Amino acid sequence: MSKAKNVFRGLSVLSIFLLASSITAANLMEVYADPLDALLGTQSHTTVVETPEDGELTWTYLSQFKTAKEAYEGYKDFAIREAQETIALLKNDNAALPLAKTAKITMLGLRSYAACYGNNGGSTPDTQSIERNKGETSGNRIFETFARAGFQINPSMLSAYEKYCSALTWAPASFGSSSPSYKELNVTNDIAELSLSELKELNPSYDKEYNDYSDAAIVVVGRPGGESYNYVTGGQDTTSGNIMGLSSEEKEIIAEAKKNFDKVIVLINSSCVMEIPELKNDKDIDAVLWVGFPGSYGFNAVADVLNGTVSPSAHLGDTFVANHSAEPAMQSFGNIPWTNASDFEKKDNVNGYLVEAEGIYQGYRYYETRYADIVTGNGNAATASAGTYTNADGSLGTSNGTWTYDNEVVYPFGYGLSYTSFEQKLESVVISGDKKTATVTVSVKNTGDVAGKSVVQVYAQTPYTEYDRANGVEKSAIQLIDYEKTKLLSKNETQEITMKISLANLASYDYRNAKTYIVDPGDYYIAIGDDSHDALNNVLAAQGYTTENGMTADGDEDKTYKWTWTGDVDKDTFSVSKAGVSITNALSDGDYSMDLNTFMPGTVTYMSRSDWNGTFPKSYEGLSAEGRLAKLLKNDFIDVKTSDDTSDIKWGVDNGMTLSELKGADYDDPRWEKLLEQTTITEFLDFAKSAFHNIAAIPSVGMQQMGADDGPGGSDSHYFQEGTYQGEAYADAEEYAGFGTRVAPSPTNLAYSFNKELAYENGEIIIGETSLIMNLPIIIGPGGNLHRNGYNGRGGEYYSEDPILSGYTGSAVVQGAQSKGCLVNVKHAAFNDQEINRSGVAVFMNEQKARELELRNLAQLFEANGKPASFEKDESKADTYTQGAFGVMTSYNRIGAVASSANYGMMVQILRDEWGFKGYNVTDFTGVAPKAAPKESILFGTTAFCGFGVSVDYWTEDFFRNDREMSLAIKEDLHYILYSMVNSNAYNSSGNVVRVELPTIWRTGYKVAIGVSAAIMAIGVAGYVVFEILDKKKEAK
Amino acid sequence: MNLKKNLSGYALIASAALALVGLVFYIVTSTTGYLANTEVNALPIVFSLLAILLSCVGFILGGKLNGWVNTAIILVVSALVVASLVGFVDARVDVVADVFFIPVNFPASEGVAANASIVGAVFYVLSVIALAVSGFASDRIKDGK
Repeated sequence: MSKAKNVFRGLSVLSIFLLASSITAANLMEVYADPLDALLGTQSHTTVVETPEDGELTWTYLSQFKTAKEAYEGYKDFAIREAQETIALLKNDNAALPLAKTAKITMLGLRSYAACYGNNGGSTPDTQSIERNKGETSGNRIFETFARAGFQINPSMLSAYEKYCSALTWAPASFGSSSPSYKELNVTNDIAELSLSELKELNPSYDKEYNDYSDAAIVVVGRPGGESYNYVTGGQDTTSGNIMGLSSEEKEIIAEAKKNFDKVIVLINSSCVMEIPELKNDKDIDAVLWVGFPGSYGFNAVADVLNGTVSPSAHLGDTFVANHSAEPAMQSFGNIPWTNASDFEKKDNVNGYLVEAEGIYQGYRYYETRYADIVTGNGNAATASAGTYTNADGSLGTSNGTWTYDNEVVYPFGYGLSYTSFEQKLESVVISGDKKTATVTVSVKNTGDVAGKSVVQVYAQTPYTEYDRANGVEKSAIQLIDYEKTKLLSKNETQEITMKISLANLASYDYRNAKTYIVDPGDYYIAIGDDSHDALNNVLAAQGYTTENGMTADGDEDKTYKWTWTGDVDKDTFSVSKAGVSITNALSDGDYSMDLNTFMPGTVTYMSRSDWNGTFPKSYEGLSAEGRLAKLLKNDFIDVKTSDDTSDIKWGVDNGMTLSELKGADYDDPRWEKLLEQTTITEFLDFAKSAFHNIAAIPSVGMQQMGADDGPGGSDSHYFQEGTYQGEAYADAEEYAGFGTRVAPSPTNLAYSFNKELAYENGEIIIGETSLIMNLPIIIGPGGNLHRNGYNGRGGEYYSEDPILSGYTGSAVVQGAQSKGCLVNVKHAAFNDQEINRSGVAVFMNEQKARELELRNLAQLFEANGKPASFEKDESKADTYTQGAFGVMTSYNRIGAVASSANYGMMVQILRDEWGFKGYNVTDFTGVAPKAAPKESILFGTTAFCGFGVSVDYWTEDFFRNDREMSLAIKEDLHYILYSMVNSNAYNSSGNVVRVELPTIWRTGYKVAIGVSAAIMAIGVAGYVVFEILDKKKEAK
Repeated sequence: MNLKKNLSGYALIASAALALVGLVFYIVTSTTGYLANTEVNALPIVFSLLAILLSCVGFILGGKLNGWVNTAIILVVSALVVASLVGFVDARVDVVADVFFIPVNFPASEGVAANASIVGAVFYVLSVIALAVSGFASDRIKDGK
């Protein structure tokens, strides 16, 4: 037997493997082209716009950027402008700030070199935009921006940190991009800081130039954050015992600054709420500046604030507490497993739960209300059991003691200073005849010496009545009901702002008796104030209270307005939604209840101001899921019927229509029925399962495959080299390769600006323009969950603890994004209150909390509420705020016992019905898996499942076809998909948009591999046959 | 019995053993842990069993078969093992992508399923390599007629 024959036979075997592998790889690469592009930095598709037959190409949405240069500079300019308004001055003793523009400074703290620019995961800031500026040698790292602004920085100290960080891993991979951070410092169970002895080891003469750079010491302390970042209380060497307190190393660095410098400034570089009573109370610390996560270019803005180019104008959107361990909303938080979690199958995704027994007393609603009750003598508010209050030094009270506002709150919600001063006057308040709106006019005068912007914060107090006590209705002593920011006011300049405020946001949800929103008879107050505490003090002053009653300061009753609601408890005025749907309990009874007492009667005691100490929440550890609750946790609780008559539901009919014909048509336009007849259940199933960074085609109506991407701060995986202007690729695209759109400050920063117009512009550029120029009709954002407390590591992706600040900021972002045709996906509906056990955690609360906090917040985005006062007077903005968010992403956590997307109360009764939502509804990275309750979710309006693949055995047309309700739901879901798509920039032009393939290294690679494998196979088989015949002939001879 | 006791024969039977291990990984990861209760694609099982059966036939009867048949057995077994591998990969690509593309979003059981599947696929690849060795080696029987 010839050796040649064996060689060819072996080659044949190998070629089978190589050919099959190449073809399989090619298929997989094409299926996952977008994620692969993100991973490899390639671009495998672009879109081409074909001119229509009539020759006229028209556009619905126009980009403001015609070139990559314009886009790059436009994003950069906006990011810096936004950041300038998001920095909150918390302390400025003796006018320590601003510094001289050429001040000689010494920067201390590890974060002064390794700053936190943004979230690590969840719109991580663009790394390249931090590393370098186009056309310049320097980038935008904190020390580079400060130097470029004119500050002279102590090189000895900087070099020590530089040396330390040089051994660390810069820019680790994170969710399809890279994170501009040091991997080793991205920890949540330890505080990254160097001691003085460690600094000395790095640079023995780190302190030798203190005297040469002595105008100020700038100490930076920070905590990283981002998607899946988990923080918990306890276990740390800090005053509070918590990780958000200052560590001994941080205190040592601050002490070093105090010892060697006359002027000490501390920057807080965190989107979580740090516990900083030491900084407030230490007279040797001159200034404290909250910078949050300022984004890729944000430290340029910090420098502008430090040197006085810009007067700070941000205000805290969260309550800065001294010790989170004493916060009601921290008592049930973190990993609280079901005791029988191991009894469930893995696919059931059953892990733990949260019992949010604090009710509405979240954030300032707790601290200000308990304070008010101390002043007014209600609810035995000053008495506090061990572990429920904070000592004067910030440590947790370990024996029974006294609750004191000043010990608990370091800086209140809404707090923020300026380099100038303002005088605000409540000019008038007019309550409309139907009692649904208040028209509030406030004048603001700049009474200081430099130009600045002021924030008008309007709060309200509602009466806490006997009816409330009897029916478990809780009332916050103060709540934000609207806000506006002035223009830049020069010295002595005055601006008058008139706000039309919805009083629906004052109504209380009575889930026990009226089962809708109610208004109690009694005295109501509207008050302006510099922050929530100031506004409350103004109300208390109007009620006759003073410091003699225990107030922290006397209030100003002239800044309040009082009116009286007469009659019985009003159960009608706010019982109908903006969409005209009656509002009643959705989350209090049955399978979809969020109240754990529904499943385990008598288990949870909700916090009440009628007995603060007696109802202080606990963790509720040690619960076991049994009975119906256990059944629901498996997320498989609705049977699909097999023999319904569905013959009248038409599928796959050729009516000759295309989706583009219905652009601009109302949702109820009768033509939709004909168009939907063309679709099939299989098309829906294929579309729904393919939603990871992708919009799958629906061929029967002519809808092509398109791209999508994660936000909320821009595109996670697309860069300016892919940019287009109205269908034409940027001519200068390659010059800006690698620069991205994720450059703005964190959403938390944006909220702290208290600027609706700025938020609109953020939506317009960061989400809207990104969608338009990158041809990504869907961007997953904005993030709209409330901050339940300061410990959600992902909090930087969300706005605030307050539903109005968060809701109106988010609403403005949505409006801005939709002005560019982006199909926003507001995430995560709803109640993503922590990242621990985030996939599967069961979130429980009473419906009053759900309605008055998270849902009141999200409703603003879906109902297009919160129009800025300036837009009301601007004709060019007449068309804004007419359409709420067109898309939503549901949450990983359960809503009550079931998957969020499978909670009828939330998904149908509230979202679809009360809020009138007719758009696209996608799950969060679940895939079509049991944890997403796919059939139940489809039934309740889910239109797509983000993630990879199908892991249920029923994803077939046959399974759904003979269940009438399910078939109709799929038809309606297709309607939602098509209606939202055709009204987005997916259908921007009058021409046909074609998605075309581009050559990439991986596409070329698999084509070559297939060709070579096929050639080897042909050669191998042919060679074998030839030599086998020759062998046979030889043997025959 | 006429065992094919040469390198080609040993490689052939080794490929069967490796494919069997790969098959066990496929079945176990399909029916337990993260993917328990999901639909199992039966084709990799059928193809693998056929490949193993045919390999055994080739090993046992190889000495009596002529070159065309021996070669046909190796090529068909190769095709069946490769088809099993493709089916295995196709059934696991979502799990692996889920685990490795967004590395923090998956439950531990999904990680186990992904890693075990990769190990199983590697055994199928080793089976193909053994088949290639069988293909490259001589059919001549050294012993055991």
